[in-house]
Amino acid sequence: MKLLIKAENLWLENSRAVVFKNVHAEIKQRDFVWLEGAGGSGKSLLMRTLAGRLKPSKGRLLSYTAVPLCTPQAALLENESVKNNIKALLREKEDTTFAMAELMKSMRLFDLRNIPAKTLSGNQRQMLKLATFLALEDEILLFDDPLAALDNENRIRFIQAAEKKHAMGTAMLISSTLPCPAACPAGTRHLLLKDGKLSEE
Amino acid sequence: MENSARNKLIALMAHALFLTCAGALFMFCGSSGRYFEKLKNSVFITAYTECRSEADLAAVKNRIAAISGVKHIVILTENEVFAALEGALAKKDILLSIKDIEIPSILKIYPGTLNYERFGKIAEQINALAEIKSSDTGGNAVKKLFVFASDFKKAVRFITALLILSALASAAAAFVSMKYLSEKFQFLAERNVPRRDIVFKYAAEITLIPLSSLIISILILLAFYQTTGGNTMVFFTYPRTLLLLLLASLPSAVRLIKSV
Repeated sequence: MKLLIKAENLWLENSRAVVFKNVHAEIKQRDFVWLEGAGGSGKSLLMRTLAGRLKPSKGRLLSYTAVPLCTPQAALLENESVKNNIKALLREKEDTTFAMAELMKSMRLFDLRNIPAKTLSGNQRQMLKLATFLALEDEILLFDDPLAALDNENRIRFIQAAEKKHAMGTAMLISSTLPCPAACPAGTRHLLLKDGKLSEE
Repeated sequence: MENSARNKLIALMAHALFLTCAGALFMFCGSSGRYFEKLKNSVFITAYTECRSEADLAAVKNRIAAISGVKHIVILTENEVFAALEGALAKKDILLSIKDIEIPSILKIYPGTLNYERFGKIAEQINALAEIKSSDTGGNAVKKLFVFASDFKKAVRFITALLILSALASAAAAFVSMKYLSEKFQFLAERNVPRRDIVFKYAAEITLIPLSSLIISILILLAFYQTTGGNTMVFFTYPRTLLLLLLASLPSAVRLIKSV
């Protein structure tokens, strides 16, 4: 299986303390990885480091592909419709209507397809944000705390949509304060970040 | 109308307004400069001298040229004055009757600035020269022309300031109108879409909005020039058209560089 990200002895320190230390991790093609950690444990910083957005204080990070990271701060095209937000990411040459409709249905956005993003509720905005990342055709997708702004029903919807994307060959790394849900596919790797140390369960 | 279409239309209108204001400013500055130059060339001091040889005239010319505020001097010799009179007079036989009278050589002295006080001082200094028999400043009519030029200069400054302000305001509007493009660039960049793909995706939008707005503004200004142009107004030169094109592409280029 193709190696996508390799972290070797990563350390990250800020002015106050060590955020994480001695992190070793490998993410390969078709991996589905659940990264669990309590609030303030350093998940977001680790995700940003793995995505190459943050330079570690020590250690080596090898990325063999582009790594899109969905953060809670990710922007939407506020004045554009739900449909146009997703359409902006799809290749124009291909017939993407079917794929777009499928994605919108799986994320419960189909009925809202002509509504501008700025008029959506918080839950719907988060679903759209996640959908815009699921529409990407990259080898790996990173989601930082995607479930925080979702209700239970939409959490399951998202996991199912992510599983579908994973089944098509995309590796997934999802961080959350919640334990790995039952809806996650079989073979999901479960990582735990606690006291600055990353362990695999 | 869909949001994206509305955004493009607003951006096109804002760009066209900006370029029309900037173009009007260029045209106005060029035209008023030309007008003042014409005005300057129509005001001169006429000095009469009895010097006739070329060497003497050149010496007088040099002495006058040394006076501060003198832009340039034109010498008309006795023969040239006579030839000019011959061309201008309807009844040529008048010249026969004055053939015995000695016509003095004439010096036309053009001032560097349109300032009446300065003009008067130049005339006084010329009058003080021993070689000058007499001089003529044009009297009250020229004085009125100077007053008009001074008032007109103030009006030109005011209109120029207004045009600069409107060009700056419309430039800000054009920049804001491209915000939607900035949001799109940021949206795609956050999702790791390669820069090259982003530029290709919006290449048509980035180039067509400035280009078509430039054409619209040039047509508006051309219509204005055709109806009110006359001999004084100047239209665009190639460098100014290029400068406008550069200005037209500035808002989208800045957005692109800032976001990607």
